[in-house]
Amino acid sequence: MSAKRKHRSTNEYLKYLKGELSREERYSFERDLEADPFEMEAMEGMEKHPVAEVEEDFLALHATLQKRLRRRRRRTIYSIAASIASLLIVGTVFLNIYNVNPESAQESIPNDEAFLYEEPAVQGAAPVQEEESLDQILSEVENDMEQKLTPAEEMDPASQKEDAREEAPDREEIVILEEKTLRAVEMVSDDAEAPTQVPTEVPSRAADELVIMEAQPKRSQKKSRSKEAAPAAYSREEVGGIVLSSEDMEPLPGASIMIKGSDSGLVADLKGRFSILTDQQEQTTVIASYVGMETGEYQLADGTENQVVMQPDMATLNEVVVIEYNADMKAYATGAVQTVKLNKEESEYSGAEPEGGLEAFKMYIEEQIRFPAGNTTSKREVVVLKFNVESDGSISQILTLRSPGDPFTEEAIRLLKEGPSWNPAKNESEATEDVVRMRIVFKR
Amino acid sequence: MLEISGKHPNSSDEELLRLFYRNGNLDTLGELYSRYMHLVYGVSLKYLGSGEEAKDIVMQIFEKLVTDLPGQEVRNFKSWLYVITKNHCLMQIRSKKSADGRMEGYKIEQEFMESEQEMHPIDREDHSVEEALKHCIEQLKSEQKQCIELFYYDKLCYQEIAEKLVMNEKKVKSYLQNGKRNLKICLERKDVS
Repeated sequence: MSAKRKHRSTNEYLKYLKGELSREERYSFERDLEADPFEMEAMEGMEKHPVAEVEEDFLALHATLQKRLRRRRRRTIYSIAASIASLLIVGTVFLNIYNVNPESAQESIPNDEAFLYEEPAVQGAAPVQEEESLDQILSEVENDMEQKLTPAEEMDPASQKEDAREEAPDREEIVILEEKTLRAVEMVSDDAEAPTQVPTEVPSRAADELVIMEAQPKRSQKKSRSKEAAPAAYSREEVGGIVLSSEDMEPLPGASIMIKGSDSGLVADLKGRFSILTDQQEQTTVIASYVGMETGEYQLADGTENQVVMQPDMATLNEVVVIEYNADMKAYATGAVQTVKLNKEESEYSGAEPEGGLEAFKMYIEEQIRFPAGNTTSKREVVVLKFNVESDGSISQILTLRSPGDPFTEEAIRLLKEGPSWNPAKNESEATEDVVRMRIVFKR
Repeated sequence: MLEISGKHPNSSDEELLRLFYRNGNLDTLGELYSRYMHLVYGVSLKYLGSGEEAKDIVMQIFEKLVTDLPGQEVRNFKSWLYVITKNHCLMQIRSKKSADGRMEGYKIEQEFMESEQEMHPIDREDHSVEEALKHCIEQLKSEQKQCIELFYYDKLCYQEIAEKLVMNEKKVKSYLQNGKRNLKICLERKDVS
């Protein structure tokens, strides 16, 4: 097998299945299929299915893969965010103390560049109380560290190593803070002339960490870098909302959301909610898809309360594709007529078919189709009709799912109405109604 | 941060694979896999017949890659993936066989794990065996011969052949497959392939 040959992309497959390739493209595709059993078998599988479903599944798969890949990264982001948050809290408290005891603080911590926030001073608080709150915060910081360690353990071994590496700096930052806060605690207690109530094992930890600090003098640089990173992460805008079904306005958990113009996407959570971090200036457009719903584009407004209301797609049951080719091209007429039935397993079931079969119907369309006059530019237009074939074979409820304009719709409906009559679908030899979707391609 | 695929659109599979072996980064593997995800999906559809199951398999196989790939020396990712996919599907069918007995029609091919598929002589770019090939084509049964000639020499696509010979496309494809198999046997007898 030639490893250098380019593989056929998802889009090429879709085009082939939809009959949108020229005959040369089609032929060269088929040559590739013949040469590579992987591609051949994949095509055989896709041909058995309605192309709309295949397309939807591709989108969904892409979104799932992205989600799978992001699972790891998101955790990392959260833990960074958590450590930055705790950094800020501890820093603020520290500053309060700093302001309460400016003289002794200046003495004990000379030229500390780390926390120069302009925090309003809280005056007059009793030192002993502050000591207590510091203890709380210290234990919070410790909890934070523990929480951060747990997700890493849950992760699969492949990503674990990397995560541990990424987390290392955050832990160091907290360590520094603890050490600083501890000094502050000592400071406060000295000042208040109260007996030191700092738990004994904490100072010893701080001592250990002091050694680490000395061993890594570059750490303070790291810290200032992470301070810059924090505002950048928050400047990305969060856009989100909920995916609902238009039928009952119930949420659609697991709906796929692709961000238009990118390869990325995500899946709505169990409550149908989703959110995206975006740094785009303009509005975000997403493509939402869900089994049984029409895939569609939705513009999101700012904020996280968007409603993406999806319309049900009634006719994924049975599909007929009729493609018409230009008269000069008759020799190459590659009109693809496909019927794809709902379930191959149920052999007793057969979908509605035009009299004389689909081949005959295709020939009829090829002979009769007229490219509507008045349209000057387009070479190719597609009309998709959906209709019911009742159990007596009559056609009803013709709906236009897609059309470039009324003349095309009228022509398509004329072809359908004047064409061969239809035989109803049969379920175990009993005539039953059926929904048919027909795609007619106008070419000239 | 959301952007992951297409970071290395011009890198070959081999380059991406080497990168992954070096950095162990899942994003790299994801990018490589997304090139073939639709093929895995298509093959799964062929064997299992249900879109939902096929989608599950695509993700199962990705997890399999995450765990299995680092321990293996894979040179041709695409054909390796093909073998993995096919085996996975057949295993799936086999485990279902007891449940609903719809195994019929599928043989588990024992030998394909060992064979890195060799391209059929007729699909190769160079036709060094042209003479022998022509001779063997002459000996094929009439439909197989017609289909092979129309496809490989007259360069007609399946549908055109189907219309010309008044048969459906499926028949055309199976004549091509069987014709190629017979050709290979014939060529092997001549010892040129």
